[in-house]
Amino acid sequence: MKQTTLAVGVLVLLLGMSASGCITGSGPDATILEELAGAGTYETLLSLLDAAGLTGSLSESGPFTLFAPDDAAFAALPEGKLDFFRERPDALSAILLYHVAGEDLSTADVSKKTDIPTLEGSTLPVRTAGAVTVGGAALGDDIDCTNGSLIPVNAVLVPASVSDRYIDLTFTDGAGRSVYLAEVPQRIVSLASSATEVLFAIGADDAVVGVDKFSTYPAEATTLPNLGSGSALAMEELLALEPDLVVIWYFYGDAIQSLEGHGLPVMAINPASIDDIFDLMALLGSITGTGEEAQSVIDTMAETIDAIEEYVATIVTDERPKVYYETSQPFKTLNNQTFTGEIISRAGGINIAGELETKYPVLASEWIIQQDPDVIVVLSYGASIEEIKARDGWSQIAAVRNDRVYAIESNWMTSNPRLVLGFEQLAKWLYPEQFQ
Amino acid sequence: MDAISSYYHSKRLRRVAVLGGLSALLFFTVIIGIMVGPVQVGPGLIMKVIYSRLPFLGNDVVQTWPQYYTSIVIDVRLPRVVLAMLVGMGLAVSGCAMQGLFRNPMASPYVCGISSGGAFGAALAVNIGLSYYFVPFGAFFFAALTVFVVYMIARVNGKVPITTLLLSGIAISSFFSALVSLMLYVSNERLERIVFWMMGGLWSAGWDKVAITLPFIVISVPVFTYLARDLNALLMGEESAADLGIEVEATKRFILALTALTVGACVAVSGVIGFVGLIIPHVTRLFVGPDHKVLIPASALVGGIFLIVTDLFARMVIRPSELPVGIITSLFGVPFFLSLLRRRRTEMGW
Repeated sequence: MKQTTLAVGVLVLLLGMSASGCITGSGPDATILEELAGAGTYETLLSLLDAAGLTGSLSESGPFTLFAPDDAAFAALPEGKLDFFRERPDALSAILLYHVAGEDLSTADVSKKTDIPTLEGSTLPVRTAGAVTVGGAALGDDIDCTNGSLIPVNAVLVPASVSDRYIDLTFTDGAGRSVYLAEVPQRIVSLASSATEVLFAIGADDAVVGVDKFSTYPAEATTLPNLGSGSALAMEELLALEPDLVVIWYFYGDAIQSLEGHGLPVMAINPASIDDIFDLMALLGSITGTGEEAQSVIDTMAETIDAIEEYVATIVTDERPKVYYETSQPFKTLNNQTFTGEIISRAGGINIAGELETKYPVLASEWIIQQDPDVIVVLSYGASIEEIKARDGWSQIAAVRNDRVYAIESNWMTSNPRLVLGFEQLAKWLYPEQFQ
Repeated sequence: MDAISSYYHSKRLRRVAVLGGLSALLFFTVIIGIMVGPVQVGPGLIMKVIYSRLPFLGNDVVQTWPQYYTSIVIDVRLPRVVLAMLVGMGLAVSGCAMQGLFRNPMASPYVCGISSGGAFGAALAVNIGLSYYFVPFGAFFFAALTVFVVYMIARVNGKVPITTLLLSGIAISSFFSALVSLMLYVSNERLERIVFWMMGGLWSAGWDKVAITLPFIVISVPVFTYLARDLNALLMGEESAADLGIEVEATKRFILALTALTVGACVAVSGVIGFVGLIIPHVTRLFVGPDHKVLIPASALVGGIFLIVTDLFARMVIRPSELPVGIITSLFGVPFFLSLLRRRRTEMGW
């Protein structure tokens, strides 16, 4: 409401300034408001002006130019959007004032300008290439009024101050829950390392105010308040941060429930594939208003991946190297249903455990020997390379014989933007002649 | 006179028969264990591979099979079966000795904290980033250390009452379990390597592991058998044992130390495999009676058989993946034990 009062004040001020320069003569006999009411096609606009308390100003003071969206333009807004703005008076008056210029302009005057200052505070961009548009809306013929002009426009203009703040976004999260966010979150708590990395990667790190203990990358993340983990949450400290969005892994059902119980908006994530990570980056981009940066990071990652896949496609399946990938536990591996499994096969490796039923099977040593993998990759904090080479009976395995046992940083192989590093590294190990 | 000597004669005959029968069964189990595995290798080929590795005899065998069969049979399967046998023997014989020593059916290497001490040692070694080679030694060291600590705590005026010993063992065991949980909590990434130790299993079996365990089992089984007379005497109570000329405290110390070394050697190579040390002595006792002269070697044989068989299931149930053998030992062993217990509870001998 403060903003409305301010706007009315500005209108009154303009009235005083323009009174001295007013030219009288045979001219229009109706105010902007009267013209609107008489036309009969601006009912929505009129009701909104009324709701925002702006009708008085538009009927008395001047001069103004009102870019007036008709009922059809309002009807073209996404469903529910109008009610959303109606419920938020500051947003509504900002939008309405964004349609008002503090001078009397004809359609012809507009076409000579490049931008028009509005009473909202920001300027409307004018395009004159082809049909003349302001803020992307096409103009109709101006109607001269006693206190300015009325120029019909075919779309509702929304200023950046509103679109940057209000997203009015509903989406389905990784736990299948429907999440609604009215405003761009300014205080995000990320209890999922993947989300933390994504937020930092897409330049939304300013909005992050707290993380979980697993969010250790990038290093800046560790300087933020540490809230434990999804299974052992420092709830008091979390609430003290007054987050307006909490991002968490989908499997922490209890934590999700208790966060919701505290009235916090919760977004569960469950990125299970490379495409899911891209989707998560795009979603967090549009939520935090960093959509463009997110898209450019996605494009760069996709480029690297595409280049490798293009080469891999030229190798017939039978000639691709067989890979045994060991996680942090001896003989424990993963199948193709896992995130890492997808990276292995898309980077051109044949995962020896790829088709097994269990997602994370512990394999029999003798079976691995029989499979005779060409390349062995082990997590950097799992068994050491020497340990693997020294295992009984493993000296016969091709990977050991040819010295193709490698250790990889685990975070390069899971659901975060650094997967592209793992993808590249794997391609180099699998096809050294091509990618070295 | 005749009656008495014939009584002892028949008792000795019976002992020979029981132990001979169990030995034959163990041998048979070992053969099955070697024949069956996730990778199918024909019995004939397995015999040939093993024969080709025998000193002198195998020298002129021409290898007609892929090299990896040799690796599988000689380097993977054989040591695994041998290790399963040794660990089963070690745990069973230690449990048996402890139950006799404490005159308590609840006693097992776990109750005295040896296993959790061992698990702690392994977890510590993993957590401070020691090379894989030292991890078993960490387990071994802490298993032995735990017994020492428990013993020192339980000692009152130069004597170690059984109740105090058991209670302090349980307390120390919980303490080390808590420490392991704490390390699990702080270790984040290395977590799974520790879980591997806590679940117990024979995944990492190899000749190096056999070399660690073998000396302890080779020594402890005969020594425990030799101590059978003392254990039998202790069954009648410490006072009576002292009357029979047994150095009660010294014997207790010695048995505890030997148990610590044996269990330490087992935990070091296989992690914490539950159930064997507690149940195998009971099952064996149900069949052969409470005389430690038979009970100890018989427990060792049954323990070996049991762990080879359960490990076989662990390897085969979801091949080529493996289950932790501890799951199998409990899943199959407990119902079997309980049904025995219900049918013959009057004969438990406690």
